[in-house]
Amino acid sequence: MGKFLARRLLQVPLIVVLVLTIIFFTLRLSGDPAALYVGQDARAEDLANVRRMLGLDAPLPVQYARFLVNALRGNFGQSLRYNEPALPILLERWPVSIQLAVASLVLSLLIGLPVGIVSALRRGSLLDRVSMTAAMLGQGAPVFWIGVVLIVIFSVRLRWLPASGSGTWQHLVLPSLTLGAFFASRVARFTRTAILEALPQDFVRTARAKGLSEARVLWAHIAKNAAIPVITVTGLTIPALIGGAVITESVFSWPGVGNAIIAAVYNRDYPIVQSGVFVISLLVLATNIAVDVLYAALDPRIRFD
Amino acid sequence: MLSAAAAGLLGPLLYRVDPDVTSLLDRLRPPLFFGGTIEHPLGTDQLGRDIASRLLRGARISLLVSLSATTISAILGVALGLISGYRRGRIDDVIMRVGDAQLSMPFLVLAISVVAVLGPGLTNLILILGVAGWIQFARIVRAETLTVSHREFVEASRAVGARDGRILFRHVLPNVTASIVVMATFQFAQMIVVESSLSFLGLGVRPPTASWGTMISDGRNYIQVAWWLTTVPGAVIMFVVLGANLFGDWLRDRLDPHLRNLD
Repeated sequence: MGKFLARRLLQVPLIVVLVLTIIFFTLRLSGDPAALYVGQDARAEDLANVRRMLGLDAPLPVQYARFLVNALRGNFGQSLRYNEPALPILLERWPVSIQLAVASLVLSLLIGLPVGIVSALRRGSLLDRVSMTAAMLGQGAPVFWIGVVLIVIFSVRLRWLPASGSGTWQHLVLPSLTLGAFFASRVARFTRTAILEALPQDFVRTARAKGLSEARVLWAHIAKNAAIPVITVTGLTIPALIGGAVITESVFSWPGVGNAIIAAVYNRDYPIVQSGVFVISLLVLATNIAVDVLYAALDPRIRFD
Repeated sequence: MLSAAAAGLLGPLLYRVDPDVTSLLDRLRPPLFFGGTIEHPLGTDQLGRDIASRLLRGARISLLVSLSATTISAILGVALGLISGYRRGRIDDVIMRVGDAQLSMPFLVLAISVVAVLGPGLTNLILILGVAGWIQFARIVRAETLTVSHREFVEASRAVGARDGRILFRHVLPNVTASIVVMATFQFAQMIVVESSLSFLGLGVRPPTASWGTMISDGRNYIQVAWWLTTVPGAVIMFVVLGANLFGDWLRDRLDPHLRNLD
């Protein structure tokens, strides 16, 4: 385990550099980043100025090296709109984003796990069929659409909850439901499958034969074994969840990182976009490693080599 | 899903209402059964354009983008996956690490950042989604190539002197086709959602072209008075994605029983 973790951590710097490389070349896809910064109707001398200011007159390998060194120091340049370093602007917004992400994660586990367990134990029942159909639909529905529909129902029609902004718990309800719907559907489906797979196995029969109560069999034996695929799915869904968070924040004007990135795209504020993509990638990397560790902790059969 | 494709292709021929005709007298008419008329069964939008016919027109765009993007991803991913799994060694390492790096950027976030640079538009959208989606294909193809290239029939054909190209296309590729097709259906479903999300944010297809995402985005401004502008296109997306996913599940069960437990 220690060895595996060490090797996994050793890969991180490499992947971080590759992520930065992708970010670097993304901006250069357009041919001339300076033209992006100043806009279409800039004078030639302005263009030249910007090019010099951004260091775009240097050869490409030099630009690349500079970019890497700066980025690793957390310097993605000045935000064009706020005229301040880009990264801190984004980091300021983290707590609000995390709040939304955690709320929807908790919400979807609270909904998804019980639904999945009950559906598996009452397989074929009306409840099972209704909830699995709902879960299939929930996985197919675009995040932004769920958001809009919730706004129509709860803000426009019923006037129960605010449609945008943040600050109170009422503001948190609709965004976290929106973001959680997809995830809850996934968790429900995978929990159901995982439990159905664990049910007919030998250790379950043994546990029952020992005379353990049904509840104890379920929690100590079935749930523990079913946890592994569920955690895998959770880990695999994190990137989608973060992508969804960007959209959700935009729909509900939630003042988090995702909203900042979208606004920066409209404003052509590239330093913000770049540092946003970078910070999100780091987050995904970190969750992936956390999932691996959790894995090994839960299942002693897993040996990483 | 097939009915959506059929609707996209044939719909405009059968349902002859011009999706671009505006009629301010008929604006914001609700759908049939909600106080609307048979003339506009799904209602009209803020310019009096018929929603049903705009949905059909939008189907063309959404399906065109998703299909082309999936095709591009599949071609790129299969090629790189074959190379990775067959050659192994350093080139495999490079391809797979780049893939890892890309996977740590959520698909949508990556797409948004590229659109930010290249600008929105149909062609850009297809290219971005196509190029960004290669890794899923590459991973699955690589894994299967690794196992297939050790099987006896590959060893045998190598022993009789077949060249790499021949081995790859005659022996390895046919054995991984099933997984590629299954992957493609799931990818297609994902592309529909991503396309509509980007269009919703104003980063995909540009108005006045009707795409399902732009229709929902337009409808947001009239949410107080006309719920059907946003609800109807989203429901269509949901059912098409559901159809594609179910089709993928079914294909997987039919083509390869071993894959059944993957998800």
